[in-house]
Amino acid sequence: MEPIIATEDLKKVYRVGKVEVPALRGVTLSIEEGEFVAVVGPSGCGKSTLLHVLGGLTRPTSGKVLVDGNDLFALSDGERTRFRRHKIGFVFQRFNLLPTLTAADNIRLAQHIGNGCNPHRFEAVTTLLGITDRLGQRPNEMSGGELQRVAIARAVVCEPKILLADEPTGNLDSENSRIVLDMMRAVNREFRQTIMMITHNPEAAAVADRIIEMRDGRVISK
Amino acid sequence: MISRLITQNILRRPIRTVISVLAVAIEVGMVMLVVGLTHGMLHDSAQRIGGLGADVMVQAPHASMFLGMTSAPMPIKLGDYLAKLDHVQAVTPVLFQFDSSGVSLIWGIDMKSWDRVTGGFAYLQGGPFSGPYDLLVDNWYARQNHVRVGQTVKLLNHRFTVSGIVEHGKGSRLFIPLETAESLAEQQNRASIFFIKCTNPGYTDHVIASIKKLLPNYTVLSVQEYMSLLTSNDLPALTDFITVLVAIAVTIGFLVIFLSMYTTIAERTREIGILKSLGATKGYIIDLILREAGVLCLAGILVGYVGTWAGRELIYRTFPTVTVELTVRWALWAALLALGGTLIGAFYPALRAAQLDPVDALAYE
Repeated sequence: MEPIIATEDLKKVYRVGKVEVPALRGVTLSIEEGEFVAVVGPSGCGKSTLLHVLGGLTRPTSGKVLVDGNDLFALSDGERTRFRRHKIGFVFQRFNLLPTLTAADNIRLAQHIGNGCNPHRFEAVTTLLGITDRLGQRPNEMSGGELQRVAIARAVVCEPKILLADEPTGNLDSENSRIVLDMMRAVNREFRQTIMMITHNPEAAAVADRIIEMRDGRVISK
Repeated sequence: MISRLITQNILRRPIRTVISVLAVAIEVGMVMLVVGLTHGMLHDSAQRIGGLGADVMVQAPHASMFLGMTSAPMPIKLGDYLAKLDHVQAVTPVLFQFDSSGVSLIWGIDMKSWDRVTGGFAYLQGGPFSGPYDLLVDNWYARQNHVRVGQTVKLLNHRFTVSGIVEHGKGSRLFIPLETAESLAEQQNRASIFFIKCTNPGYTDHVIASIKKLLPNYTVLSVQEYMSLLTSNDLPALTDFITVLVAIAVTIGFLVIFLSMYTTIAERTREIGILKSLGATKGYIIDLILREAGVLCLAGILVGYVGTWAGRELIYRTFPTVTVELTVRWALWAALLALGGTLIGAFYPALRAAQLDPVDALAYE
């Protein structure tokens, strides 16, 4: 069976003024469908860049990214956006919910943008994540744990094949971290969603099926 | 869903919303009031010329159709020749005097011939001139300026005594004896215009043809033609004036909306990054921002309509002699111009938002 994510000698160089800063120095990895993978490594090792490249948010300098059999960067900008809409969900450290909308509307916005998402999934997801009683609240009325659960609900409500999580417990206390990780695990098991999670936290990484370790823009253990 | 997002964004930034709505409202109000005032005053002026009861008007060569702009180059003797033409019942000369202190057009009239052409004034109070510095005012002017019979009014650097208040609708709002007007203008035996009454209105064209033969280069118009010229919405001189003012109004609206949406985009960079991470296309983001600007614009148009109506009421209370003609045509034009300016003003910020790099946008503090 083909891996759902596969990269080949992925490189990404940022240019800061006249200085070139390599963030990824040839990353080759593969992730199977339904896997829960944690990517760990020190700050600046290229974890977030890898996540952004795999999510199609930023273009690599060279190398190939295959997601669900599609060469992500052979697609046009518009095609890649539509591909991301249907195949990839994001969860961020800072939750990134729209402050003007309620929790329910933040989730429904993803369904609206997703256009064609199963409307019944909303209830299943919010029930699984235990946020049904918080749906009418705005982000400034919720705790960090609740915010992250809403963000996870938003990310998975359109049934993307892949969930990319960038330090999802980075802004949470240990109890909320545990709840969020349990929820991610539940999403992974219930909906067979592939999860790639970036984390500094060894306890968080321990929840994953597999840990990929990065250093200086390279994968040092898979 | 998108409506809720737009509504919430608008409500979240009340000051920005109020300023944008006001800018559009001012734009709409300015367009409607300027056009309404210009057309209203011209149409009112046309109605008052029509109310004279004359059939033909004669002005000097190349005279302006705006009567106050016309000087007095015609010898008054011309009136005698005009009176001798076939089918002419009566001729009356008028000398215009412009009082810049009160921005009033004063007509110097010869009461005898005036009565023959117009059938005379309907006096609401007082009566005709009895001295050189007597003044007749119409009831609108009297109401606006709280003028009574016997009161003195300063015009053309002289004090005039109000001898009578007449029913409005006959040429001007202020009348003085022709001789006084000539003396003040230091132009003896001159007239700005002649109004002619035909023995029968059916002879108007015939009389015009005779006058053109007699005075080839003079401006000769039937009163009906003059009225239709003034009431035309496509008057060339007026069109230029209105175009300039409308352009200024649209520019104000455009700039405020541009600035408002531009700062909004800067403020909401992170939100745009979130939308992009959710898979929103460039078209979706442009559409979202244009719709938001559109909602602000529609609110501005509604406030503008209410403001225009309130402005007209205020003008009527403050200046009863002024007519503001508000039309559905110009209400629609004002709305279309506001919407066009808004969409153009919002388009560049929308485009910039759509082109934001999602990673940079998400990292925006």
